[in-house]
Amino acid sequence: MSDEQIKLIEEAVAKALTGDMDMINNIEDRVTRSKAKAALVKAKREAKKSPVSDSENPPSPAPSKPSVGDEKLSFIDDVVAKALAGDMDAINNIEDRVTRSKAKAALVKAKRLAKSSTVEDAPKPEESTIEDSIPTKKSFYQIVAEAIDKKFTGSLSNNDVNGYIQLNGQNWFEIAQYLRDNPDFLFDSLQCVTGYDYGVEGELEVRYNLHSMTHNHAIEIRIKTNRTNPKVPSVEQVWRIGDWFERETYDMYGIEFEGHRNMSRILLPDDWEGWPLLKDYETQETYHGIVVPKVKDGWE
Amino acid sequence: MGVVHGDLMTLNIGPQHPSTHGVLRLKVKTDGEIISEVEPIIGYLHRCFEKHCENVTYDQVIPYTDRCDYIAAMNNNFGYAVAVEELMEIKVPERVEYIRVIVAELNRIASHLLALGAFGLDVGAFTPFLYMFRDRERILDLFEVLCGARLLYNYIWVGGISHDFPPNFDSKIIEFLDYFEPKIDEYNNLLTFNKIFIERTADIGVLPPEIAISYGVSGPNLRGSGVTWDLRRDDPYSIYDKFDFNIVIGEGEMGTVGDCWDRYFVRMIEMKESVKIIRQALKTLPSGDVHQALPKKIRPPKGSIYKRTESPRGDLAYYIVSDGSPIPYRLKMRSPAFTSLSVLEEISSGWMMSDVLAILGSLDIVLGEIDR
Repeated sequence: MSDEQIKLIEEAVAKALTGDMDMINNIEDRVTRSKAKAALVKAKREAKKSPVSDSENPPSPAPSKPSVGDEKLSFIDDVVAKALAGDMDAINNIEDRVTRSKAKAALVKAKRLAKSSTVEDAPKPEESTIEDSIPTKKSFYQIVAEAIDKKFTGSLSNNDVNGYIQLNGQNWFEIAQYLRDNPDFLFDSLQCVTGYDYGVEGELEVRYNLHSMTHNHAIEIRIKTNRTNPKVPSVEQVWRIGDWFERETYDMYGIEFEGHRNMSRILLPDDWEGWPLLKDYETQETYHGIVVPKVKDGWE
Repeated sequence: MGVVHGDLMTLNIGPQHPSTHGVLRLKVKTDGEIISEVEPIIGYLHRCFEKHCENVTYDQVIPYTDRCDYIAAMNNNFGYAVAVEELMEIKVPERVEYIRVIVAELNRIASHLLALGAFGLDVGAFTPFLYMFRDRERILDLFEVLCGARLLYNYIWVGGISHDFPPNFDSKIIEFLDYFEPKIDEYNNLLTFNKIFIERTADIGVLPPEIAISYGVSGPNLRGSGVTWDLRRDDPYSIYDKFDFNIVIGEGEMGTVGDCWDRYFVRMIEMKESVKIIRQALKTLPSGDVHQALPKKIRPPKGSIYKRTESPRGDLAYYIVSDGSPIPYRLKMRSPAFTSLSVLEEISSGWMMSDVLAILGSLDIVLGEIDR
């Protein structure tokens, strides 16, 4: 790339950042234009990243919240020391949710420090980025969970959000709409819907992986339902792909999605019996007069 | 004068039809020549992938992933291996990462060649199909030298790969790239800028970006709608962050952004980008033992993971739940072609019968992956 092009790209990006997209769009050479756009995305992302990571830094408390007393801090230190020695109960038994999550964040930090000191002789840039993202992710889950709890009280079935948010299914349709439309989250893409069976005696669960194209963050939502009459509200009208994903989950687990406009099997024939991915599934004897093979003679 | 509506006629396309790219049935309701409703009926190729996975060990799953997207088996192996490795926290040797990227990008080229050729076939251009298959054949020959298989490789394993590059294999790849790069211009002359082809595909089946995102459409189809989204850059896995490549998006050069021609052209340019990545990787290919990190027993710790990778068709993801045993407790595959096909209903109503086949061809679906 020539110096001229680089200069042009820099100028165009600077203009675009102030809101004037015309200059970028008017670049005639296709390659230069796409390069300028890539540079713009990068610049925007970097601008976005820095304030977020600052606000999520645990030592700097948010201005709206009351500052943590010294008493609490020393308590957290005690608990973290205990947890590092292997006693996780100390942390899990903290009653106050905020203190508990703070203690957990401190634990992660302590562990990270311990880890980085042991692998000092071989600094790996990739690993450090992965580890950095872990605490960010955790606090992000808490932000989302708190927002949901504030707006739809009583819909969280578990306050301990660690890698996923457990909902009880109440208001799920409204929560989904909220998550999609709230400018802080903008989860505009439903990535995956997974059915899950906790075992022959256990419950069923539906797991949703959401993702935001704008903010490039992701989240997992889980909703449990009972085994005898499994029902979960449908989000087919929130994300259009929910239509097929929910039909697939219904096909495999028999979980009915209330409000779905075409709740029917999708991969298996309509007159198939049973729900194949349940752990206690038994294949039917015959299907339209054809014997369904069970004993696999000659296999393996 | 008002528009006269006749009775709707129901028409079946498939399950056995050359334009359905596999065993897919389309239930079409037409008003004369105009389509009013399309309902894709899938499941003819369902082979119980997820149920099988709950009964075999982690390494035995890999051949099954081959058979899901049989056009791009390397990329399917890749995604699965990356997911399990992250669950087990395995760090694979540098050389393995490079080889994986090289074969995955080669397979991406092969897959795009098939997609473009078959798309040409769908809209009535027979000759480019043969040209593209001629070159795809060379990639398959390379893979045959590499691991003995031409279609279903079982090459990328958890923690490594099955075979190292044979002697002089690097130069064979470079020889192929030198041969292949000028061929892209040949395809462009033959098909891309052909007037009839443009008439058949430009402005047809426009997929707006919001709809695409709501339907979970990903990969070249989403980029064709003008959304810069590529997991190789936006959520880098393996060593993709080390390479310099552009993300190609549709710009509506011949019609509207997001039409069939854009989706086609994105794939065409993407092959050039893949060539670029392979060249960079070959230049800095380190040496080392590729079997060094292969685990003796694959027993991931308790937990779950959702890992996405960029397959030639889009975001391919595996959701794996481990209970600490050598057999996956639950394995779900999020297939990109499944989500791409679901949008067909939305974008094809109102078009002519022949356009629906063009739209279907431009979405580049593989039924093995949709039905699993």
